[in-house]
Amino acid sequence: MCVLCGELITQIHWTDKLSGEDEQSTTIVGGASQRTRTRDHHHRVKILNEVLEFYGLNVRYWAGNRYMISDRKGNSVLCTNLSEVWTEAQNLAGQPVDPTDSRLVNHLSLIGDVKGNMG
Amino acid sequence: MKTDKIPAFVVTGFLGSGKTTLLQKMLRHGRWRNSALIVNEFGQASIDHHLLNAAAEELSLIGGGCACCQKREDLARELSKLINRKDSQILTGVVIETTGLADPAPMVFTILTDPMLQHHFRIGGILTTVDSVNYPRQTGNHPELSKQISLADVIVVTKRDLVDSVTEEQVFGRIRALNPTAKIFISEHGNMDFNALFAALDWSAETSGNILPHAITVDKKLENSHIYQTETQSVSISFDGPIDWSAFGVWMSMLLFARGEHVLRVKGILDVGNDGPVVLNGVQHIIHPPEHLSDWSGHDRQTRITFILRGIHAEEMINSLHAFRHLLGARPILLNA
Repeated sequence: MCVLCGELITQIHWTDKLSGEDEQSTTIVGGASQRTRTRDHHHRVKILNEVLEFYGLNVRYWAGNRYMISDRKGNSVLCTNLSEVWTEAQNLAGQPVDPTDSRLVNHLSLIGDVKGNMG
Repeated sequence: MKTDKIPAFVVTGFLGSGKTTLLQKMLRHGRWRNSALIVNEFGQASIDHHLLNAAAEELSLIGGGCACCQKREDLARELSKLINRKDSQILTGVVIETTGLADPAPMVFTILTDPMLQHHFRIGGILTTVDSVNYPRQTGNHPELSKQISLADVIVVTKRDLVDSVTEEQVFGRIRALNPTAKIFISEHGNMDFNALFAALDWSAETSGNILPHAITVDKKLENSHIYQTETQSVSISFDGPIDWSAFGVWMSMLLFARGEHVLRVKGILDVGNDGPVVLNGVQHIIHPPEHLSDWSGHDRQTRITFILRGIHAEEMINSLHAFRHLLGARPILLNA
């Protein structure tokens, strides 16, 4: 349980594990590692926005290292981890969210080509 | 803080493949002193100094109800009983023997996601027995068998003394084509090098060095494995440089969300630009908490990931990873093309 907001967290998502953390640990402790965790979270939000922009969705950082995902109609859902992000993104987008979808692959490839040429 | 969870080992294998014979010999080894054995069927003989619990198969659907994300209520109940025993402090391991047709994925899911059990148990590993006499005949007709092999960390080939060398090669070729990351052992009359087996059969951080060699080695026999291709195939991928861990987590979690039922197994080591690799180990939708190792232990500093897929083509994976290259920071390379 989060000591600040009282939210019950039953599972740490595998993507939230940090370098140096005990593999068997089932708790997240604040302090020094919290800064790293928050930085990683912001970085993940940036990556998510590049992917979800294709579906007309936007993700924002939300207190407690959560994700606020919104569509262009103003619908918003709060998610605690990446698994929830994909579930809610699919609900909001009204279409399957799949990294092997050829339309998404073509879209991201074009962005990759542009960034590659710029770099 | 280092927690000390009890390793749970899942022993699976098709009907008559020699699970019980192997277990009867294996559990006499000192490694299993103060261990518990949970069997799926009633009527099993109790083994000295082992606790024996019997469980009838009960599944409860979680979420979308996909095949792997089912909670095995029976297993959760039996494991809870073990924890509630007065002498639970002495428990050093649990062996779960499945029925011949069981899917090991829900057992892994139950242990890693149950609110109580996840604090007491960790997945020790999955062992699958393969009967070398009957496997060549069974393999096309029983998808359960292919899945048991695909999910294994360790495969024990039994009854080898009853087949000729051609059949033996055929069995090994098919196993390797399905699961190139598993370590294969040979058992004759239930006898084998159990110390080597125990060393290979563990997902824990202390023995992660054992995960490295077979996770990063792409078996040369795979070059000829197309003759054994079934709808289940393995794909080994590397990258031309270190990858961004956050971007990989985004891609992988998205893949598992969309196609998790088709990703039977993922296993590998990732170069994320740190001093050591990240060890990745997953069964369908369930990813074991990744281990961030402190060094490469003498191995080449290169990402090696093996996916065992059913219904996804290697090109789809490569094209998808290639599209994510600007986020990942590196381009994918297909190793077993």
